[in-house]
Amino acid sequence: MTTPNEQDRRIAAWFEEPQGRVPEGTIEAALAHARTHPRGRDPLAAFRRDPMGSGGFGLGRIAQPLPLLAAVGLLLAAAVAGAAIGGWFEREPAVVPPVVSPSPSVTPSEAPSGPATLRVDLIEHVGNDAFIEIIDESFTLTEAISGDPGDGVDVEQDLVRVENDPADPATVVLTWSGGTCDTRHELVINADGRTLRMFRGTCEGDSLGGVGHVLRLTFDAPAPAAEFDATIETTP
Amino acid sequence: MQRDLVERAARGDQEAFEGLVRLSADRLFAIAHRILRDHHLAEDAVQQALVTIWDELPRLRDPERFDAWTYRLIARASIAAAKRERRGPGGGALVRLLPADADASRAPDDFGSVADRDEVERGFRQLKPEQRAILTLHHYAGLSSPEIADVLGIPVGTAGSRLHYASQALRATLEAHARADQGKERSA
Repeated sequence: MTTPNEQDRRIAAWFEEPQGRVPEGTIEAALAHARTHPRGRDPLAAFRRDPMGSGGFGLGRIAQPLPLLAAVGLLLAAAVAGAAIGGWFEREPAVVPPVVSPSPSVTPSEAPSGPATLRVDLIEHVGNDAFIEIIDESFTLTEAISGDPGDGVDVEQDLVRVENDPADPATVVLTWSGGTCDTRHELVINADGRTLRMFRGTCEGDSLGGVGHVLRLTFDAPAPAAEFDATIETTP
Repeated sequence: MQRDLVERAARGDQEAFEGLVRLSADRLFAIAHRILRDHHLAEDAVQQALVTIWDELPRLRDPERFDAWTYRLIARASIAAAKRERRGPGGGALVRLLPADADASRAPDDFGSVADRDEVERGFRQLKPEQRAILTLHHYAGLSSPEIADVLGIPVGTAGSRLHYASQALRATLEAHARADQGKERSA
């Protein structure tokens, strides 16, 4: 049997092995992409998200000076445009997304440079079909699956309960409650892998509360529930 | 010099971009190859990262962060490639052997025995792509936990714990292989 020091030496030596050089064809392909996608100075570059900036979402992301100015400018422009075309006072009601049937399990499909996104249809027994879009900026989520809320859940409105699955320390179970028309949800897993921000659409005119939702998230390493900071917000 | 290239490439200067590519490509390939253990997948990951560099460079506000950003891009491209490969036909095997030019000229004593190398190789392949990436950033790129946290955009504590779990997983796999080999020797 080898000792830990021996193992560390073997591992370190193995990482020192030469790996060869990148083929010229790979470099040429990248240069060809640049030639076929020429670009000049981007006047809006300062307003775009810095790829090495914080991976936050919403206000956390736009609360830097330049993006904040850009956001305010865009909002003003949108308001002026809305008023100009007369739509400001005659807005159409929100469009309800198409209904989908619950699916048991989904794994993320990630883009190489952007966050992984996936959609999970939520199981519920009272109201309409519900779903949640998950944006994983941490690249640590390996699976997301709806749990069965049964007859209801005992979680206060506007709270998300986070618990570990006793059988799997890498799985956390999120439980929250809402109304029968709470069908659209979005969950952002920040780059830290521990900040979960859930958003749900406004559910107006709903008199039936107490509809439960359960979502099971499996990560690539043990994920103690106590480390998570989960919030839920209602958005227009 | 690199800062100048980054600034010019961000403005659309293709010559500067080529200079950056030639400065960075081998380093990115070495990282991708260590994570993926596959020459062709590593090539694809590098190409993806280089294309992203060209497309998104104008958004990088601090040119001094270029190296850290490229580490992030190649780690993500490699993890994505590994996951695609696992989901593809055959389900899970990154089993192609090392390229012929990787170590043919080296005597086994340069890094221990061939058996040693193969054991580490086997153990490393069994880790999750994210674990392989974090170990590569630490052992090969020489990044500390805070630097890994910066590169991957995660808290320092999280980077430390992921590095710990990944190292532990690799050691456990090596131990398991050693025990299995001992068992085979006894029964033979």
